[in-house]
Amino acid sequence: MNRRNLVAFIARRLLAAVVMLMIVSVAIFGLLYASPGSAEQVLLAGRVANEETRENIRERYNLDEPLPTQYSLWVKDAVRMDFGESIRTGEPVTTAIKERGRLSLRLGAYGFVVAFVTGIGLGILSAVKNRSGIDRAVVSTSVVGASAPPFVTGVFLLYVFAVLLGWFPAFGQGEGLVDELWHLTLPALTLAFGASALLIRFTRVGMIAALDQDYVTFARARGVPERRVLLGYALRNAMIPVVTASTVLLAAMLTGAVLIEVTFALPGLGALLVDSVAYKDVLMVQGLTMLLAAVAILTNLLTDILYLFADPRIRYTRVTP
Amino acid sequence: MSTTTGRLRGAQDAGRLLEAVDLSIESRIGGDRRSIVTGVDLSLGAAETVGVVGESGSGKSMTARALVGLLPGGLSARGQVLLEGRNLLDMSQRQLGQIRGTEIALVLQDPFTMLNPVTRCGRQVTDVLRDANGRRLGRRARREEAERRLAEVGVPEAVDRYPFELSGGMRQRVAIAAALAGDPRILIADEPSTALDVTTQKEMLDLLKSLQVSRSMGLLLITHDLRVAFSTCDRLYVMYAGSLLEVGAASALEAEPLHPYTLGLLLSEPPADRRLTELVAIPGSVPAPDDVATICPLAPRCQWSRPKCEAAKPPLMAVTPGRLSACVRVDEITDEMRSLRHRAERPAAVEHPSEVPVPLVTVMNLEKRFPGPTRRRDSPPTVALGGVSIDVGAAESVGLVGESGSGKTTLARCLVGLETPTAGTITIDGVDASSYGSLSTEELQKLRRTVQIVFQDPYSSLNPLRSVGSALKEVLELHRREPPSAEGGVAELLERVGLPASYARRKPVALSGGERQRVAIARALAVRPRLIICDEPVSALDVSVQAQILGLFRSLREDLGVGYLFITHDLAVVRQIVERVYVLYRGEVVESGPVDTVLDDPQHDYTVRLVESVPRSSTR
Amino acid sequence: MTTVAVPPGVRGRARLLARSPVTVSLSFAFLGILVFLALFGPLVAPNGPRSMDLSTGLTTPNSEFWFGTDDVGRDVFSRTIYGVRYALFGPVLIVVGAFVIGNVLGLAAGYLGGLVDTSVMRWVDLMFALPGLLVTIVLIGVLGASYLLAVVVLIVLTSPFDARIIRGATLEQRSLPYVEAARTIGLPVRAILFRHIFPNVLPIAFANAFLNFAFSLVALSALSFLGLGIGPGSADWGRMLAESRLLLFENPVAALAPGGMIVLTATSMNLIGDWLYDRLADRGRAR
Repeated sequence: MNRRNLVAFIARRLLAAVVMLMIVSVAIFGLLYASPGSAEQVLLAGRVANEETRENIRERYNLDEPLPTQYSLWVKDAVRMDFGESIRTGEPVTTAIKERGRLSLRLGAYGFVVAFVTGIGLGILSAVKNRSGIDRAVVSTSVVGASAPPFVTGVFLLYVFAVLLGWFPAFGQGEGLVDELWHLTLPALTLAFGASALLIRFTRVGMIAALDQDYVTFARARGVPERRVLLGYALRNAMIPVVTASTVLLAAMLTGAVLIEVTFALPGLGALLVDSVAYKDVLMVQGLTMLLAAVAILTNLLTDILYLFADPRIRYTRVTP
Repeated sequence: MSTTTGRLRGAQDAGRLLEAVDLSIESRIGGDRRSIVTGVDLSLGAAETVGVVGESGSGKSMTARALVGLLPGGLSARGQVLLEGRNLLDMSQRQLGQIRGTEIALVLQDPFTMLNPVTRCGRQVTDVLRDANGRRLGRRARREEAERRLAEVGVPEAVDRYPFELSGGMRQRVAIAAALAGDPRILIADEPSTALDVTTQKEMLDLLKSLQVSRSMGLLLITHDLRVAFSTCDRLYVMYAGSLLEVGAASALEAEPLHPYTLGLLLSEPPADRRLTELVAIPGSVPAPDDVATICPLAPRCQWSRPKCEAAKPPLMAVTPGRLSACVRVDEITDEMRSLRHRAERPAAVEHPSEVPVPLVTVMNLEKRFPGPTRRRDSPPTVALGGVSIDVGAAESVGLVGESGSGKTTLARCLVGLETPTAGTITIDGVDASSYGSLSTEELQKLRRTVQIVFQDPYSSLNPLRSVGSALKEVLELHRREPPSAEGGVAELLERVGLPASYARRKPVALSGGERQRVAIARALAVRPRLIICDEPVSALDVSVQAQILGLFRSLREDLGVGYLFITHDLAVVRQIVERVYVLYRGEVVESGPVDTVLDDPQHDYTVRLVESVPRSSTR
Repeated sequence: MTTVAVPPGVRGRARLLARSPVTVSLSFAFLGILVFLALFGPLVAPNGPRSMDLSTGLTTPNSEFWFGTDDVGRDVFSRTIYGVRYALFGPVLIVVGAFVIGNVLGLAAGYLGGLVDTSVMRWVDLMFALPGLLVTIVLIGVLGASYLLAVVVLIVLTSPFDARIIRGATLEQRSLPYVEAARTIGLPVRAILFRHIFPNVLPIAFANAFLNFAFSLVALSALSFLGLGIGPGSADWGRMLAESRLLLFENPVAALAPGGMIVLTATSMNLIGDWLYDRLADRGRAR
């Protein structure tokens, strides 16, 4: 596929992503009306209000307009990053997201780095030493990691490291960079435990399959140095299914982050989502889910493009999965 | 177990580059211990071509792997593999890694899986190269080397391509270039041409020979095809169920085999230059080495076996200088073997019916296009069939010869409704079968009872979960043919294809490949068709079993009068079964006529090439 | 490869089980215990699931309360046992629901191809991209917390996984010669699907069911943990974990016991599912 086709491909995918986002946005917009009670009641959150307040609400959120108009106005606001004010706290939705987003981002990055390094590293190690003691140990741990929900792992880690050993603080986010990192360590490890279990599984299976292939045997049979065989032949091919699995990985990490923030009482986006949902703070939920959808769709797009580079075969042929 | 006489390995004693002494391979998987190879002695000299011939289960591929120390997990080798005195079996993987590629290299069987799918070909070829200091080459040097070596094998344009962009033959060439990149003195080629078309096969073998000469290498060729071995090799080793049965010069073996197995193999492979009256097959199938460890491995299947053949395992003995045989009765039976061969090789005349038979199936200008590989507008559709016209008369046996890409399988599938043609007509017994989807139930019923099909792969032709009997019963019940009792019908069908009625209770997994194919044939016969389309029905079977199934086809025709449309790439096979033949190339019929005329005196360029690609004997 | 015909009866389920690794056998044993507890739990548990004793208050494990009590004096041991029912009931519903929907869609998509296939796969791709649990959280939050709703939503979210796997297996079987032979013989589509394809696809679907169980258990307990599933005070493990989380310093067992049970159950199911998958993916396959 030459450069022109590549650009065309990316452009098409981008367009598809935008379309997908639009479809999702309709559903998100509809959340206000899906909730029990009229839109007005939801926005008031059951508070008693006089006529004037209600008038204000109706005007602020265009409740008197026909639905399609409401939607387009909502979209216009959304593009300007205006999702209204939180029903629960009153602060602007976007401000709340920005503030708490920083923490979630740090947690996510921390956890991802640890997961990536351990996941791929252990995956390769246990594939190369297939059926040995190391392999069995790694596989056993990863099965537990993939089965244990993050909130359980989190509680266990809390017990061992915060209660018994006292090495790490139990709750809260800390102040200052180092203190924050220290507070985030247990949550990040919890996140990494589940994510790296998935990575280990995919990498290991991919590597074992690759090492079994004829092209590896043939490479060895003609004297290709072992290091090149492992990296350039086996791992390079094993990475292809890992790339396709990254969407699953992302979904797992997002879910995990939410649960972990609640478990460790971290004031991040995940905890915000849960609180907002419990309170029926629909506007905050709308903002958060739009962000969520955008992140998911964007990652999908990136994965597709990455896959294109990972596997030259699909550049040339029609994909028949 | 080798004796001192066994050490006479014939031919040049000098320049014995590679030697295997008493090589045994055993598998230890999950507590089960199984022999794969027992007591094999081999030698290879520089500038010599040696062949190891055997069917599946003979252990020949594992022997090749053992020679370079690349046995799969769970398998281990004992004995010695001497490369100029050093025993490779004693070396560590690291030491072996330095020897592989630089002194000895192995090329595997399947060009479609042998190359790294995500790396360009030029890069793969140069992966082993190091400069004088032991470091990897710079970019420009690498490119030069890649181009030079790929040119040596005839595909210089592959340097920047990915393997999937190349055809099977081109990939095989790239693989050979990659294997030779380190300039080894010995090249082991495991079935280098099996996965390729006949015409490409010949090119590959010629290439290997010319490389061997130009580089003065020793070439060890592993193959199941005796014809290939005779045409390419100087000396041969014949393996069966993990042991060597005969050793000698290729020309000598071809002129007079000194072991019943070699003779049996020779006779099982039909010749392309004549039709045989009788296809001699070795009954039964290949046993596991452990089952025949204490007797002559062939004894249970051999027509000349006597009690002394089962007394102990016969060693390889020198019959004449340079020729070894593991048959204890060889002196007694040479005359009988010779006369069997004479009888079997007598040509038979092909009988053509005196009048032109009424056409049962008529295909006119059949076309089939498949959409192009990508969705882009400028990607052209693949034309599988570009206007093919054939006809098959009632009770006639007609052949369809072609290689991959010729469209032969597509044509077969169109005839039974598995594909729908894009243009053209098919008429079967008066019914317009061009589009199965638009036929009425009665018409469909009629067609199903007129034409049936037998597929190539016996291993997936039967539902693994259902017994053989239930598969046949299903067909009988669907078409409610006599006899009224389905069980009786099943037993009768099984007997007709040479299987005992008790097989009805067995599941496919308990049957061998040849037996499964017989069941598939029985299934096709269950509707009492007038025509059976056979799509490469013997290509996936061992040679000795092949002959059995071909014999079955012949006898079924004599007994039942059923006609065949026999599809194959193998000219020798087609000659034994059909009266008329069509030659298909790239979706078009390029030549047709009576089978002996077409094969003895081909007119079209492609047919000429096809006929010339059939491996000839060593005595040209 | 030609092999000598082997008399029937050598293979079979017994041989299958005899060679299972220790971990899988333990998992089956654990599953057996769970089923027993689900059926006969009340007979084993010393106390009821909600019986409180405020005078006892929070205690650590002792001879009367093996796992201690939580802050309102409830016996953790008994509640853990009663929790087995919640742990099995909901996930089983989800697994069965997803099995039915997934199989129907997967078979249809795999065998019929064309428009049916494309639409099903688009839906599957969409569902794969969504973080299912979060969607559930949002939906539940908006529509109102209810166990039934959670189950229904999770059925819808889990069936794409089944559908994709079944579709893949169906596609694989469909192009095999024995299916094509069935078509040329003239077998009706119904017969081909149910007599030939489905039985060969079923083992994979079955193995996958165990994996789905583990996933559903985790999802449901996550919802209870967040307060979005089962009502407060129920002996559901996720709920118990949420309520006892802050008691880690006083009676850690109150949180570790339900948490441990979740992990053990999910792990056992995953082990069984993986093992079945490995075994059944090759069994009966031609060759």
